[in-house]
Amino acid sequence: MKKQQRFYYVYLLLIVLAGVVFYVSSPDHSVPVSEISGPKLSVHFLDVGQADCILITAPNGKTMMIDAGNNGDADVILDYLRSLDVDTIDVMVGTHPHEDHIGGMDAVIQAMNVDRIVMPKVSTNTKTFYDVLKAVRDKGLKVNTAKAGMSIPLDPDLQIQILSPKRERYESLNDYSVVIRLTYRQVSFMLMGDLETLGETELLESNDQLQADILKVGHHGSSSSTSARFLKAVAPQYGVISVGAGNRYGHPNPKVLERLEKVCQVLRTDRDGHIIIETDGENIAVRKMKE
Amino acid sequence: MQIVIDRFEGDYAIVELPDRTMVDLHRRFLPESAKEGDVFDIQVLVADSKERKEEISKLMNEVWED
Repeated sequence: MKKQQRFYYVYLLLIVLAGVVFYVSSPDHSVPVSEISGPKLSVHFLDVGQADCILITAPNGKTMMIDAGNNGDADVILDYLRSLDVDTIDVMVGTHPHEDHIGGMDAVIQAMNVDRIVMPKVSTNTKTFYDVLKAVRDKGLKVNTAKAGMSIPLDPDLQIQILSPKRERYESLNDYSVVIRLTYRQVSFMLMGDLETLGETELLESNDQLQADILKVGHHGSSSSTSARFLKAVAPQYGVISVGAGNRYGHPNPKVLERLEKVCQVLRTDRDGHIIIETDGENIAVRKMKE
Repeated sequence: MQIVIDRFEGDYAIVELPDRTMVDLHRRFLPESAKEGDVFDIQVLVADSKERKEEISKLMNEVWED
């Protein structure tokens, strides 16, 4: 074999090997983002540290936000929205009035065109909550009570159902968490807020359809949530944990993490940064901003 | 200064200061009955501080040689 020809084969082999390595090392076996074409649903899990903020962009271009991070996260959220040229939040949902869920909500309401606000009808004594209510009033808006059985009209091609809260009164604020099941054709998301075992049991005892492809894990992966029974009923392909690096609260809990890792691929905002899940209603593509 | 318990996570209460800064406070700082939304007042107890100071000074004087 001529020297030149030998080099040619070595190059060819290297290219093939690189392709194999790239394929095998790709983080999941979902489709690449480029294969999602046509009208798509995007769900952005923003990295807002030890807090929640989810942005949904519907196939028809409408937007919905679920929670708005900590008090210090307004700039991160608003910068992110501006980077997507979003100036309107058609539906703003506050899952429950803890500061790690409504902290930046007053700033979002002030800075964006907001059409509708949905929250559980429960109060707390923080200035954080007071400032959210003030922002709603100053904008001339009203809040709609989130209740199980409600559906949110955002896009005729999406089903957005509220599964929780099922009762009018609970002991602790996490139990009031608004749980949303979002479906686009064959792909479903289950977005849990900070729902704990009490609420998970209520869901299991109901007739609600719980299976979902993507589970936004309840309460930052805390031991209070994601019981084995509940996880079995949801049987997700992806589990997304919204959590801050090095938090003092033991989130995510190692046992919960182990339980999740046995059945699905775990995505975490502390490691992956902003996580974007896109779907055409059939295929699912995942993008991690820290990759 | 008034502080408000926003929530509990693990061993901590996350409390809100008047400027909306959030601080982790170990549960041991709070009475067991403390719950979300409870407002606490942080203030210097002037008389108690003075009384302690006097008590300790007295004992120092007793045990100190020089």
